[in-house]
Amino acid sequence: MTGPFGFPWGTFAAFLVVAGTILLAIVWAIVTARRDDGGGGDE
Amino acid sequence: MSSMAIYSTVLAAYIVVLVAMGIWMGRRTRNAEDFYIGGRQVGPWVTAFSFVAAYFSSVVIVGGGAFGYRFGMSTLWVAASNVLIGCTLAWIVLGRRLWEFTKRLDTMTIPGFIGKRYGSREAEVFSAIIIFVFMIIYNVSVLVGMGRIMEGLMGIPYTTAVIVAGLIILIYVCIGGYLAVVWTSFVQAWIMLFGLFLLAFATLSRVGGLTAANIQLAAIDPGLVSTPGVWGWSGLISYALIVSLGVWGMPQLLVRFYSMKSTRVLRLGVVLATLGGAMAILPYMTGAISRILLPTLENPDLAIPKLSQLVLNPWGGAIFMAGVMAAGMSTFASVLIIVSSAITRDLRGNQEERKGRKRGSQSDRRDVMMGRVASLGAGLISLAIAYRPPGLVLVITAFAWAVIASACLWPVVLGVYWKRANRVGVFASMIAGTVVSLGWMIAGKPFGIHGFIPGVVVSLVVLIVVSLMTSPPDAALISRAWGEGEV
Repeated sequence: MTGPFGFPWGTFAAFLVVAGTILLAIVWAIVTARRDDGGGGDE
Repeated sequence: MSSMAIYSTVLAAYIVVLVAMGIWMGRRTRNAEDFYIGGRQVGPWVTAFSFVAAYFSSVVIVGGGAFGYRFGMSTLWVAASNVLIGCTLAWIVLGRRLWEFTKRLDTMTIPGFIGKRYGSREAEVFSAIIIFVFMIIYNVSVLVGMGRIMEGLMGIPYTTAVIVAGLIILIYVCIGGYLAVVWTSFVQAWIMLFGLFLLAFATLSRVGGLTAANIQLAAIDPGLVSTPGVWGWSGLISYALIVSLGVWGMPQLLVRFYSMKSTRVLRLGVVLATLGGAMAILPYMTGAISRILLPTLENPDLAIPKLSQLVLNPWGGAIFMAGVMAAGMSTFASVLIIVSSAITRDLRGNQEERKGRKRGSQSDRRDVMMGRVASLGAGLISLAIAYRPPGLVLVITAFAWAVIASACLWPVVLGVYWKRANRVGVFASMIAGTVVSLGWMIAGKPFGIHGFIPGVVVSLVVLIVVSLMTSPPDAALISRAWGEGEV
């Protein structure tokens, strides 16, 4: 079965992993900032 | 203006910027901590993009394109693992802990961290020797890659290209130390990104877009667009792991974490490094598409250089060449400073540091000078080997990264997460990882699996089993490494 841009879904999923990773980085940064600012951080 | 004149103009401007940055950063380098880790004062943008630049060498860009040419779009999974494991998870899992541990243990090198965390001078020396030998070999491969690209794109002799590129890097590293490395790498990352986007955009325009490219590739061989396609699972997974998980044991990348000015740098840094790392998609995808435009290439390593000549005008080609040079130079410079620190800090031993000398002292200034001399020596050795690389060296370059990662990965990771890991376990693990990864490659990669995989598996098992079978580490040592109150 063909996915976006003519990729098979098994190959296109690599783009989804990259997009998900960017999302993970943003969420981790926000959570860490909230935790550090609430708990005093490391500086 | 002729193509050669355009290439020379762009290259000359690029070189002037690099040397100027080296001289400028040299003024800010006053002690050993400045020379080796920038005085722990590096911010998120420079940390993140210098990480990306050091990660993706010219070998990865040209080699990644070659893999794309041979194996098609399934290589996009290698890029995905680069971003997820090599960039984002490395920052999340190791960033904060390495920064904290190296600060508490007052160390500025990975062998130094291993030595102090485990209370093991033998593990410190062993890791420094592995880093010294295999990093120089790795650097030879980076220099050879740069030389071949300049030869292919500009038509200048390989030996001239190697000497020019190598000497320029030596100048700015010796003068400016780590600060010159990270700031030039920051600039180089942007040049690299711009060059890769330029080539990808021009290539896609030439073939009529991504959908058209996939249809044409599938017409050549459906395995060029499917996963694992013509590559197969064992090759794809083992290669993806070595170039992503391997990062977790590579000192020239780990140093970015403990040169940050605070752990707050991690927040913005992880997002920037992830976005920068996502560019790993471009060389693999562009290499795969080049199969349509260059269907009869005998040597896939020429896919990216030939493609840039085919689809870019001379100015675009010159910028792309600067990008590829930037990738190689940033990696070479990063490795050079690590080899220098292995010689002057770890192999020589920090006798004066152990006596509690103050920073900025006469001895510290002497350390900076020694660092410069060691960088120069290591660079000249790399240059001499790359000038006429023996066949054996070229063979070893294929697994230099694997050996270093096999020796250092678990001692670093478990060193910051598992208090029970001890000096006997770590030394046994490093030897086992090195021997198995080397032996596996010498045996001709049985089952098509890269030596990195058995190397890291054996290294992990040995570290855990031997640590559990021997006495726990000294409580005072663990208390110092984890900080008071955490034990």
